[in-house]
Amino acid sequence: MRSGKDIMLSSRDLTKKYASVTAVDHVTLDLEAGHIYAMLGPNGSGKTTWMKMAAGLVKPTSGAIELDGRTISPDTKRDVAYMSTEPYFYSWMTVKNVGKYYKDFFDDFSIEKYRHLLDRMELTEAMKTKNLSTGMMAKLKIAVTMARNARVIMLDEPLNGIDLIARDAIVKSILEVAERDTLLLVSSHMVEELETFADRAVFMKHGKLILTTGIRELSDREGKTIVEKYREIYGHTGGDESK
Amino acid sequence: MKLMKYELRKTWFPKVIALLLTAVAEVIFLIGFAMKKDNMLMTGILMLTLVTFFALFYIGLDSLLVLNKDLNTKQGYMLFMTPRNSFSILGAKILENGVSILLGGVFYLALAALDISLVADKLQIQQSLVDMLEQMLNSMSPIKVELSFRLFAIIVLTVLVSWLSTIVVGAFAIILSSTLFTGKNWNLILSVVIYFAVSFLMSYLAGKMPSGAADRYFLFRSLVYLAFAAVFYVLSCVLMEKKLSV
Repeated sequence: MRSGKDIMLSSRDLTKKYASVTAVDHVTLDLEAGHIYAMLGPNGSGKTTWMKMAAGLVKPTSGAIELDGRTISPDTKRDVAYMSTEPYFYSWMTVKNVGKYYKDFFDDFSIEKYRHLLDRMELTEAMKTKNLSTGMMAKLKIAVTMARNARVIMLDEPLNGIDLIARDAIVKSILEVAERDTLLLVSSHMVEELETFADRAVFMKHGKLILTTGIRELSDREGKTIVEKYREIYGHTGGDESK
Repeated sequence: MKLMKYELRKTWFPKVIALLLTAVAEVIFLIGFAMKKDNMLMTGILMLTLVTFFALFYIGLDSLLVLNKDLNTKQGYMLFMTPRNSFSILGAKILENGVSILLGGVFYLALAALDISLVADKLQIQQSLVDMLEQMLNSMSPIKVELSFRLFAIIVLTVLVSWLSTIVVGAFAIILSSTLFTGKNWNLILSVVIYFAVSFLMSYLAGKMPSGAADRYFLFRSLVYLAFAAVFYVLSCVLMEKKLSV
């Protein structure tokens, strides 16, 4: 991991409102290259909406979000790989078609790496996406996203619905990416799991940014793990998840 | 081109169904003609007419249905996560639609010409068919139409451009409802109202051409439709670029 202040992705006063609901509320956040960030918070805390704004899928209501000082636009999508928590592949696609589609649109996509990751995830190219189980779909989303050599990789709930063995394969893939000068942002309900590979944590609640901290700094400063900090932040206030 | 390739892939299924139905209708027509069975011949003609009408209509409409799906389901991430701007994305959809309608139109026109020439040769009704077409055009337009090859080509162009503008205005209505009025109960109603209001205005202006030669009349209509298509294409793209969330 690098320790320099190399801000890659940042938001200033970023707000997203849906009718009367404020999903992201004036969030100012700087994320540096070369780190793995765990994005934490219960459902409805604004993690997914923030990521979608960074991916250019959702437009902010106000404020700014930038990649290397450039406002998020179709052009910045070349550098951002985003894995949504929901399945999004066209129903007519096979696993092979998914790879071809990414190859067609992203210069940084490696078909060799994709095949390697499919092997690791025990998926075959002939499989039809509409027939994949929840776990297999999650593995495919991971494989196709991680096969990009993108500068920013955002994984929204990558471990959902995935068995223990496949989870190890995913964590291994994440750690391989971490060796590059990449910004990796991972949201998950499995906080203990994130603690094994993330080096920084972002806590969000009700659309607001609560805390950004280095995981080691948190331990040095407060003697707490991110699981303990998570319980402290969300435990007493009716957060809608247990951890 | 890559976007167009995938747009074509998304809309190929109804086209294959249309081709299969056309093949069935054509076989019935040919059997009826060869075996001189009037009932089969008429059934074939009726089926071919209906399939042609619905196929062209649905091929045109399908791109709007796909656009609606792309904007309102998670499948849209596939399209909108690509590093392509809204001009390319919407342009590919409209171009695919235009090419499909053009190729479909040419295909059905050629098939109709072939079938009509077959029947007309046998029954010697070529001139009455041309008269019938001329009569139909005269009843539809406020000016006198004397059919010639040049005028026929201009009319085909007018129909194509008018269809293109209909698709662009339809796309604009869908994009508007998905962009500005997400979550509002009345968004769909409002977009339908907008669609009909714009279509009415377009038809009204297109009909404002002072009386004159038929070719000028149809060319003027084409220009009005083209101008509307261009304006609403740009408006739709700006909306998508600035405001659309998927």
